[in-house]
Amino acid sequence: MSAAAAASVCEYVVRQIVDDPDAVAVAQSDTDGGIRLDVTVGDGDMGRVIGKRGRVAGAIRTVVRAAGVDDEIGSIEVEFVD
Amino acid sequence: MEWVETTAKTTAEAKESALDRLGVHEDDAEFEVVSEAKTGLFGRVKEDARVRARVRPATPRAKDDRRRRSKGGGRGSRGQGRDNGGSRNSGNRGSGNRGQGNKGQGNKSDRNKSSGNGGSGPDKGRSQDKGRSHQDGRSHQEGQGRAGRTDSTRSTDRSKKQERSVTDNEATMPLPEQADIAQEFVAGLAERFGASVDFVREDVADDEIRITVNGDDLGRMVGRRGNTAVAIDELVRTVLQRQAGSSRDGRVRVDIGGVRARRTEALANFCREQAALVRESGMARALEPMGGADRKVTHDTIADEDGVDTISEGEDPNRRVVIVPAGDA
Repeated sequence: MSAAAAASVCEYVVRQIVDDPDAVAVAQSDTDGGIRLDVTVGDGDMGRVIGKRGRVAGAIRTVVRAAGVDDEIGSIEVEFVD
Repeated sequence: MEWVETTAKTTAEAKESALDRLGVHEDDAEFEVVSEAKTGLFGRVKEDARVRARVRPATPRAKDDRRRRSKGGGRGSRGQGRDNGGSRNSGNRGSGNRGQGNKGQGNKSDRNKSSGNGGSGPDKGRSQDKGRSHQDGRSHQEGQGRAGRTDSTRSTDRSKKQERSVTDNEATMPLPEQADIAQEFVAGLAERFGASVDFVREDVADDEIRITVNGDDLGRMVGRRGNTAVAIDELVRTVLQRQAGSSRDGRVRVDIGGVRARRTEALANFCREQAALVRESGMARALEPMGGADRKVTHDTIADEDGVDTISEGEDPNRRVVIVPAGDA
């Protein structure tokens, strides 16, 4: 099921947090040991997604990885692309 | 010694609303800035200032200056032999009562008399100080021995600030609505995790709703050592911040699988053990740095223990609680 759960959780969470949900995009690519999700958000929403001291970003990564655990896809990287 | 914790856009405003909660004057409260208001990365994210405050522990004072409106009754030197110590201790939280004053109270030159004139309702006690000080400008009586001039200045300041905070509150979303948002968010998340869940909602305090998420397949949403559950709670907070506004009151906690409750209990037990060690040894013990929520558990737990107090040291994320023998705080 190829990381669908992780990507879907990622997009869902980010869309809930930003001011402009329609500007959210999650692009998935393969890496050596797993997959990588590149998240882009609308102007001005990056701060929200990252949060103070990266707390929100950290929480998103934790939750997204948890969602992908069953997928046997190895590591899941979540990058927030500015 | 009860601490209240408040948040606002600036530390000054947070202090103000803490004072409103405690119902005391600034001079009679102790503050601890838990975190400054911060503008986050890219100038966008605003983290509200967080301030803790409590009524300053009783210290003997000149008689003339005894006009404190303490919240925590039952401390010996507080309120004794005062005209209305008892009645004003009740229910000071409702800050809306402030400043409406009992006109006419200021005319009583005899303090005992003023306590005796019942019949003006339960609010009488707590609004009495304000009522008097409002009157001070016009009908201050020499016999009261109160610092009339400064009082009335202060109370004018306070009523101004009162108005401001009332305006701020207009945008506040009621807690149950916030809980709806939180629950909806978690439901959507659980669906994407492939878990079927149900929710139990509890009012754990006036200003806190706990949503416990139950289900069969929650392992992944809890995570190792509850890490994922904590992350989800963090996300809930962020979602609420965006959807309910930053001036929201109270707190919605999401507890996946009840792990937080179990963890809190374990932390409380640990704190009681540490408190016992401090009591026996007379030596302060510093705990590991903890997040604000855990520190609150620690403070609250220790507050119920005899012979020990807590203080907080350092700055987040390395802020920690130190358990000290009572009196050393």
